[in-house]
Amino acid sequence: MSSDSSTFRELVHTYTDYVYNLAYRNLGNADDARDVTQEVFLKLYRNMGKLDAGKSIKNWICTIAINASRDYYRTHRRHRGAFSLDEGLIAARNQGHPDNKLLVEKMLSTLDGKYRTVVVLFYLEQKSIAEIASMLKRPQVLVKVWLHRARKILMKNFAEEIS
Amino acid sequence: MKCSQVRRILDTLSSPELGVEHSGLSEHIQACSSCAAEYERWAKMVAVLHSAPPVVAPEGLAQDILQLAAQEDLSTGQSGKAQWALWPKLGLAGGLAAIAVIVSLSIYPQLIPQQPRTDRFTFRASFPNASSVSLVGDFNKWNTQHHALARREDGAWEISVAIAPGSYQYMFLVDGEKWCADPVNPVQIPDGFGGYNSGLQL
Repeated sequence: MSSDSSTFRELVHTYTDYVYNLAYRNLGNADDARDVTQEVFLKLYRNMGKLDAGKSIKNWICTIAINASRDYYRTHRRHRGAFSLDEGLIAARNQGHPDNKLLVEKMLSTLDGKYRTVVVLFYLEQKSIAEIASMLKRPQVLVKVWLHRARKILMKNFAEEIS
Repeated sequence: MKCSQVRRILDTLSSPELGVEHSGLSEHIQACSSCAAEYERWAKMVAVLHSAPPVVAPEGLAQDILQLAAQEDLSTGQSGKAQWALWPKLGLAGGLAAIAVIVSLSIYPQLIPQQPRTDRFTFRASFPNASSVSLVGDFNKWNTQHHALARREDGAWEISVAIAPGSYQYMFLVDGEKWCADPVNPVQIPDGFGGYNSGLQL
C-alpha cells in the first residue's frame, strides 16, 4: 500500500461529511451533493502529489468543494425556489434545533449561486471575509457586497418567520 | 445619525465579524426603539443561520468514494494494471487464464453459471450471522443498494444476476457496513488501498 493511498483513505474517512455538507448547503439537493462529493475526492486523489504539508488540508478541501459545487451549479443550473419535502426530511434527521433546521434549508433555497455560497461560508462555516475572497478569487469588497445583498434577500423573504 | 442612515447599514452591525464600525450607530440604537427592534430582527436572522447543524453524508458514501478511486487506478493503469491489462494481451496465457477461471467456477460454489454460455450468474456466499448482504461491483457501478442477496433456508445468501461478458470486480457488503471479498473466490484484485476485490472474468 502506497503512502498516498493510505493518506487518501484517511482523508476520505475524515472529510466525507465535511465535503458533503458544503456541497449540500450550496446545492440544496442530496443527489447533487453526493455527485459533487465523489468528484471532489477524485480530484483530490488525482492531485495527492500536490498536497502541501505546510498548508491546511481542510482549507484546501473546502476550496475544492466550493469550486466544484459552483461548477456543478453552473452546469446543472436549476430552479431552486421550490423547497422539497425530501430535502427537509434529510435536514430533519440531523442534529440541532428542530425549528431552525428546516428554516435554514428554506432560507438557503431562496438564494442563488454566489449569494448562497457566501452565506454558507460566512455564517454556516464561519470563514472570514479574507478566506472567502481567497477561495473564490474575488476582492474582499465584492464578497461583502454579495453578503449584504444576500442578507437583504433573506430578510425580505423571512422577516415574519424570524421574528 | 438619522434612522434612514442607520437602516441602510443595520445588517452589517448584526455580523460583527465584518468589522464594520460606524460612530454613533450603537448610541442611536440604544435611543431609538424602532431601530432597536429592526436590529433585533437582523440579529435573530444571523443567529438562525449560525444555528444550522451540519448535514451528515449518507451511509456508505465514503466507501463508494474509495471504490471509485480504486477503479480509477485500474482504468488509468496506476496500480491494478497488471491484473486486467495482461489478460487480453497474452494470447495463449490469456486462454489458459480463462480456462482457469472456468475451472474455478466449477470448483468454487460462489460463481455458478446457471446456464452455460449465458450471462446469468448466481453469486452465493455463507454469512451465517448477517442480517443483510449486498453484491456490489463495477457491473452495478458499486451501488450498494442494487443487488441484495436473498437468504436461503440453509443460511447461505444468494443472488442471480445478468452480466454481460467482460472482466469484473466485486465485493459483498454485509449488514450495510462490512466489506468482504468473496471468501472462496481465488481471484483477488488489489483495490489500491491495501485490500482486495474479488475478480470475475466472463
